[in-house]
Amino acid sequence: MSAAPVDREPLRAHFTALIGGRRELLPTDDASLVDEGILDSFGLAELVTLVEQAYGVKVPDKDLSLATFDSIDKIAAYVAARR
Amino acid sequence: MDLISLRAALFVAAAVVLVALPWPGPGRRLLLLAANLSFLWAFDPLAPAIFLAVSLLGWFAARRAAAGASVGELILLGAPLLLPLFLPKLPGLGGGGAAADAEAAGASGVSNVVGARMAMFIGASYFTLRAMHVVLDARRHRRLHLGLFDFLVYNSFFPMTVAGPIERADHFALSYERLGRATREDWAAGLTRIFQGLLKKVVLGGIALAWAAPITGFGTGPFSASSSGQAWLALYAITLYAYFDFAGYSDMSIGVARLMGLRLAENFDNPYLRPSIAEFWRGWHLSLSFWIRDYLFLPMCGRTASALRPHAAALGSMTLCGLWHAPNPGWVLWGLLHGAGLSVHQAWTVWLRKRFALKKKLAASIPVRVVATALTFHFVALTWVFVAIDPWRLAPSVRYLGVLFGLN
Repeated sequence: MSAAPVDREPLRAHFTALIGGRRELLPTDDASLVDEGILDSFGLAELVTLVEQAYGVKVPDKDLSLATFDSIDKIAAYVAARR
Repeated sequence: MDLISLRAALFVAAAVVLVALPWPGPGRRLLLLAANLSFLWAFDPLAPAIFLAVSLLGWFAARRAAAGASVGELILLGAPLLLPLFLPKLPGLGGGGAAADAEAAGASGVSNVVGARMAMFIGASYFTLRAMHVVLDARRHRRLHLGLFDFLVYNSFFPMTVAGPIERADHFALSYERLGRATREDWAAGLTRIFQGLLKKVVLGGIALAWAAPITGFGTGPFSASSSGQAWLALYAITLYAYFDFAGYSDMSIGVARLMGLRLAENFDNPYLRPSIAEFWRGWHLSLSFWIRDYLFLPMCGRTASALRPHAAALGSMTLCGLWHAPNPGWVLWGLLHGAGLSVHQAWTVWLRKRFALKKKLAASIPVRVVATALTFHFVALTWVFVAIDPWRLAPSVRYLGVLFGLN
């Protein structure tokens, strides 16, 4: 039995809000959010809080890195693995 | 020991050759540890004892951390590690102000930027941060990357003693198996880096230092800056000197390690050609920058939806970074200014990000990048003023700023 897919909408909504609500400008799920200038160290704490609250997973300190959360695909894969 | 001397060169050559010999069992690592401790001893006979005390305590704390010890226990165990970071830099204990700094480092004024730390207490700032990294890393990952003996070799590794880098244990462990087994490619790369380091540190750094006399001797020396143009020229010179001296040393560290088959992480990546202060810290003293981000900034941010908390964390972590350099007003203000710079840059980034199309357009514009790079360079240069003259007193730095902007 495969695990339920991760709903990416909360992530897309979060990043869309960061870029002024312009959903059409949001890069694809596999694009690097760091390279696109949407995610940086300052935004990591807020993103981790969202991930923990929206998906009910605990993010340990060792996973606190931009590399872990660098794209919507990577975040979804991380959430799926932590569930 | 003077790092740029025949004695130091002979030491490095002997260590590289001896480590490359076919030693049985742990002989090679034992020899390297002996060389490392000798190197410490050559600077200060007390240094090996302090190193061993810090490292053994750090190792014990790391083992407890890996075993899941409580935060309270780790704070109790780790608190003494802070002593070597600050005590030697206080007046009367080796850090007695600019005059003492200059005398200790054998150069005047500019020693406050880079040199004095080395002479004050050789390597303590670095081997202590490496020990703390191992403790914090063990707590996060519940594992140790090196056994006790290899941890001592790593933490005392002589090319990293004087000015880092604060190499991570996990990265060090990646090439540790190749110790003493340098290939021809390693030799070519290592010697090239050593040459590049000497060129930066001795030639370019020496030229920049000579041009920096109006700031290093400001108010005291015969070449004290008296005009705005002269002051700006000296400021550019001291800014370049800080880079050439420090990056040159890092090149030599990486090069010497490579001659022994080891690959240290890069520590500089064109920091003065970066278009923002955040980018500057992705190119300047990378091992310290990552240490601050991972062990101070991100934990200070915690889990929060507050937009303000990361700004407070930037100010707090960079102020601690200044304190790490030396507990005096100049370095604290230097840290605060960098923290404030990061905070203001972030506010600008958030504003611009909400205008995402404009952000992408600006990012792609070469003229905008040139102007941003020039602004960042000048911001960083101006922060050097507070540590280049006399970091124990802010008044001369403020007077220098007055000369810079024609307000004297």
